[in-house]
Amino acid sequence: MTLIQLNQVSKIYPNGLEAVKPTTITIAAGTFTVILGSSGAGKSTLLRLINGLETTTSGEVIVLGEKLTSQNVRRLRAQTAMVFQQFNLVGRLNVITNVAIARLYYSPWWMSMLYLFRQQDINIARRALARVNLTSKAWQRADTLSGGQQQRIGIARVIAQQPKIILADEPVASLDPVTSEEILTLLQEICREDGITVVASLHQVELAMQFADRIIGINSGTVVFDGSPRQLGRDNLREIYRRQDGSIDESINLAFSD
Amino acid sequence: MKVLTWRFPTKNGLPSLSILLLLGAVISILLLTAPVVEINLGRLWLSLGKLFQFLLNWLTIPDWAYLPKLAAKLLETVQIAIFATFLSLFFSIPVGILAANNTTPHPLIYHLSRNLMSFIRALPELVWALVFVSALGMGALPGVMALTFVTTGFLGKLVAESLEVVDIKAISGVQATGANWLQILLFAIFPQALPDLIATLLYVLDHNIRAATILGIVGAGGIGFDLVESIRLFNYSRLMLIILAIYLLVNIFDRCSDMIRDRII
Repeated sequence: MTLIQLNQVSKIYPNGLEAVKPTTITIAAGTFTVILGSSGAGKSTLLRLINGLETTTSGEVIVLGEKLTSQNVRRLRAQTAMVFQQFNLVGRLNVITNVAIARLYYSPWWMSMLYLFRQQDINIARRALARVNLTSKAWQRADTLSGGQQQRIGIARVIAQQPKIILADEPVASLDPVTSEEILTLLQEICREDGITVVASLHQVELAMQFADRIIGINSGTVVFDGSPRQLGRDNLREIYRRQDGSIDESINLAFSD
Repeated sequence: MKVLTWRFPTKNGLPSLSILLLLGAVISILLLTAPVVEINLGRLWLSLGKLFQFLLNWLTIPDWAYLPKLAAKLLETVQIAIFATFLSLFFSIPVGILAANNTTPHPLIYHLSRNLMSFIRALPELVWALVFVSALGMGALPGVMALTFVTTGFLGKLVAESLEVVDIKAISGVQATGANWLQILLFAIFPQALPDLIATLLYVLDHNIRAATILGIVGAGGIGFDLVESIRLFNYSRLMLIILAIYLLVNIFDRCSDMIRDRII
């Protein structure tokens, strides 16, 4: 079943940058898809188009069978949780509040006015926090935690949101290699056990090979590869990491020293 | 010829043109405006004697009997300042939300609220106090009204600016959960802007205590009326007490607000 469908979607920013050229992608339910590409290839923009954090210049985005519009964007966002490179927590709020924020869509407005949550939503947040093993930090301010812990809070937030889709925008780009694996393993578990569709953007080939069911390689806003990790060969990587001037990013040769 | 061993960190080693222009502008403005304010060293020198005479007048026995009234008037001054500041907070926060480019519901409302605030700010509090005194009669009420009015013009703008500098990351983190405008404001923007908002509030309160000491000049309550009266009547035994008291009040408050600021930020 198709959960996400991009039909000839493009994005041109007001400054004239063409981040995504007309692109058509469909993503099936329950899969772990990695969008691979170097910095500035358009990975972030592509993900942010799916939950309406960016609006399309042309084409249509269909999520859960509904065309994304300004009318249904909040309802669809509630089903499409997001993990960010910089974690995007509210630093001055405590950890449990940061996780409970995932339930805001279901909170009555008068409760939000008083910074209240429904008991069931607090329980959901508690369970999510337990799942990432950070129950002990529940009452600490989010900005007192380390980067790895903050990203686990970010993961707890998407768990608490109980979405159909998780979009992870460079979720491990600010983390060390060990923590990176931990975070991606958590996302993989959520994908496998809860059947939630994950779309993650990464720039490291090795991690993409290790975790993805499917890799979509993009370069300068265009899809240049689409297939399983096993199909991804040297030539494909050259295509993905080719710079505007034709040279190739040296770091990918290291990745393929085998 | 000796080669220079230092240079400006610019392309050609010369100071940047924009800074030179700015410096030139400041100096020429000073030179052009100096005659208007009659800067005249001779005149300053000749009035030194008179100034000394005036200061000698202060060496008199304080009017101790005036103390209770002074205390009452001083309290009134502080009350006017605090009440006006907090009352205006109730107006400033909504106006500030409308006037911040990341929270405003519509660009039209943004411009409307910005214009409203600059209209209020255009006249100083003493002028507004005169307006309210002629409308409501003498007393603390017109003082509070005037101060609340002007403070809203200032505080609203400062609130808007505090909201605008909140990092977009926390905002998009909350936005991505499907939260609505109000929830984003309450759960992402307010918590992150809070230290800035409190610092702003303390600054405005500080300013308002000073402002409230002169409101009485136009009959709008507080210590100002007695201050002006004792200057006019050459009542130095009172004047010295009043000025000392204002000095102490402002100073103590300044220290307190510094302490609170350090705690929070």
